[in-house]
Amino acid sequence: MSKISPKVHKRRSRNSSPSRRSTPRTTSRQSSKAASKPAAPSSYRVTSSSSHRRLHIVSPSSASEIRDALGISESELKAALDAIESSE
Amino acid sequence: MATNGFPEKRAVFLNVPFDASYEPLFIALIASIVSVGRIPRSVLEISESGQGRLGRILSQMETCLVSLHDLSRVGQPARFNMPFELGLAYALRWYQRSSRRYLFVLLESVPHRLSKTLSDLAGHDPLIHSGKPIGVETAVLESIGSSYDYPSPEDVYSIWRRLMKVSRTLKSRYRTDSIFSRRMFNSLVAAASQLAAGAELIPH
Repeated sequence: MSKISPKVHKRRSRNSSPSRRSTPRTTSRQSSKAASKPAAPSSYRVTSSSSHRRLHIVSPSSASEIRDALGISESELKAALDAIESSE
Repeated sequence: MATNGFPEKRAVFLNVPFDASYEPLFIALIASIVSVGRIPRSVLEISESGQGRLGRILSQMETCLVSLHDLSRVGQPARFNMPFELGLAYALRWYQRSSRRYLFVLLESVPHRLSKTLSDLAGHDPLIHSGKPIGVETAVLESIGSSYDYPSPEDVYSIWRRLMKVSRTLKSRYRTDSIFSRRMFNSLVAAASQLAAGAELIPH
């Protein structure tokens, strides 16, 4: 949660520039609507109408973590590495 | 992973058809899920026979916080496993009121069809992949990509192309004509993680 991609950060910075804004940031109606909405848990986002398009924001697993999670055996890993090598 | 009954936030349960024509899409799912640093889980990891299989499937779903359900197979013969397991996912979501609430993502190949084939799910719009790997990859990136620097569809497509070649080699090595087995699934995920790490999409 602590890391924000440069692209997102840049977009936010651009939107916050007063010189580019021709209309108020929010109307009073929008503000009151937003204020009445319960805050989402910090670990994920959820839309109101569907269970998808909202996601648990998590740091990516490493390759070794993914393999360990599935209990991938040495022979299965070796087969994968051999197949990668022969497919190059 | 899933120790002590706690779900793994990065695990994604796959509820998809296991047929030959779906193989490119299944590989696209593996490529894209691994490329965003999440962990694909499947019933392929569970023994085909024996009592309690359903219980083991449910237990595996509980170790995940997200599941993907492809409901695009609506022809003959009728396929009941996908909607059945979607029902399990819905129940998991319904009865989990904690902050770690279960999430499910719907996939379809044809727009607006789900409202006819499964009208009870009104209000839950599926992501449409049009039966194409790039469609699956885009759907995964859109639905479970995080705010981190997740890859572009082009990055994932490149991983998918390599993984398709790998799958052919693995089939030959394992002397099988299908990727839908535990051994093939594990080796494909291992290969995907290696390729994604090599492309610096995820850590080693």
